[in-house]
Amino acid sequence: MTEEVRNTSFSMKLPTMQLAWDSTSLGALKECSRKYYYSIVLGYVPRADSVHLVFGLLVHGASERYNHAKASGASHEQALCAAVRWALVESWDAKLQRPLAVLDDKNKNRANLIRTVVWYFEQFAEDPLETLILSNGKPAVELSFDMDLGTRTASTEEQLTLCGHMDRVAVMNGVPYVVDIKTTKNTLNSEFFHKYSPDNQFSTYTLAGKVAFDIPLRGLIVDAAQVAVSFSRFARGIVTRDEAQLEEFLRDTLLYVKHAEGYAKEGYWPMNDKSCSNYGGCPYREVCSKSPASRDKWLSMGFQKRVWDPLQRRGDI
Amino acid sequence: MESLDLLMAKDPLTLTEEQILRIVGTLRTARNVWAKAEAAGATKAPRAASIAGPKKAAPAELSLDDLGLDL
Repeated sequence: MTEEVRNTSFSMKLPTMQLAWDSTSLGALKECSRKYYYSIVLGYVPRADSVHLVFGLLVHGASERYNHAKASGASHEQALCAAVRWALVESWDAKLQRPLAVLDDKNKNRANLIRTVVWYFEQFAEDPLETLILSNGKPAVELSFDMDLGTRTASTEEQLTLCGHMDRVAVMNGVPYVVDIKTTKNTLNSEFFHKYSPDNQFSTYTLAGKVAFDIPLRGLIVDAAQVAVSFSRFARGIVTRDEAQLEEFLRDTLLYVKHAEGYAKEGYWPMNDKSCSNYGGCPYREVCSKSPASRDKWLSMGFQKRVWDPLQRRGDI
Repeated sequence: MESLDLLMAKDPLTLTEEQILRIVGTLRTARNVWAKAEAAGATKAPRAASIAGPKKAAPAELSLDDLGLDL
């Protein structure tokens, strides 16, 4: 029998109440509290991995290797080779001796992943962005944060935190920004960058950077990578947040978390049935379309369990 | 010399430093070729069709009374 792994981001006293929130769980709650319940509280996820998620994680991972190597004194060529080697290994199924099955997309496949990594770092070889070096001497790459939200749960009096991981903080013209890479198969235009204001993830990063790391961040620099069949094109955009916007975001976050506590106490997470068609359709739509008594069966048949625990840190600082 | 496809089909754990450099070099050359073509307009993104301005909103012809509710 397999023992279920405990999600350390949840309360021991009220087990369906999340205490450590990241942008993924907060985003799911904002979208639909029922979706949040299925995906984060119960941990049900679609059986098949998303090619977009895997491709994005691999690009981020390669970027992390490159930036770590550069910050440690490696040349552009050495850092690029380290990033390419890492991406080649991570996108390979060693057991089956073939590329990962999930990377079976005409745009987001293994060959285009390696091309994107090489072309991206070639384009930004003379990058005006310099990775920030933290006071402990380490490069500000893959930073984990866990920031006190300054309040406690009403029912159990437990501390609430905002946590997560940032790819990189870099300095441009003396101003520090969080740097994030986003991949898309769509053409890059100003609309692409407009969608990040407002945006839950980017506001979380800016707020956390300011509070948790005491870095006077002005916002984010987004490196957008258009991954087409025969080329990868890049564009850079700046997404800013001012103090008032961050205060508003924090206020909103506290209210959403308060709602989550209400749902946890009630043992009921209402559906937002106006959100079912967003983002290409909610993966839980079919489950929600069934009669309530049969939903557990549909969830266990069509989904697999994983623990989404934002407190499991990825990086080291 | 092994082609890019052949190198990419190998178990990456067996790739030598020289083979990784060859992958990087081949992709760098491909980028330079693409960049030249892009600069010449060969892969220019298609222009979006022009969008007509918003139509004037129709005057409201219904009132709450039309809902037939006992308010």
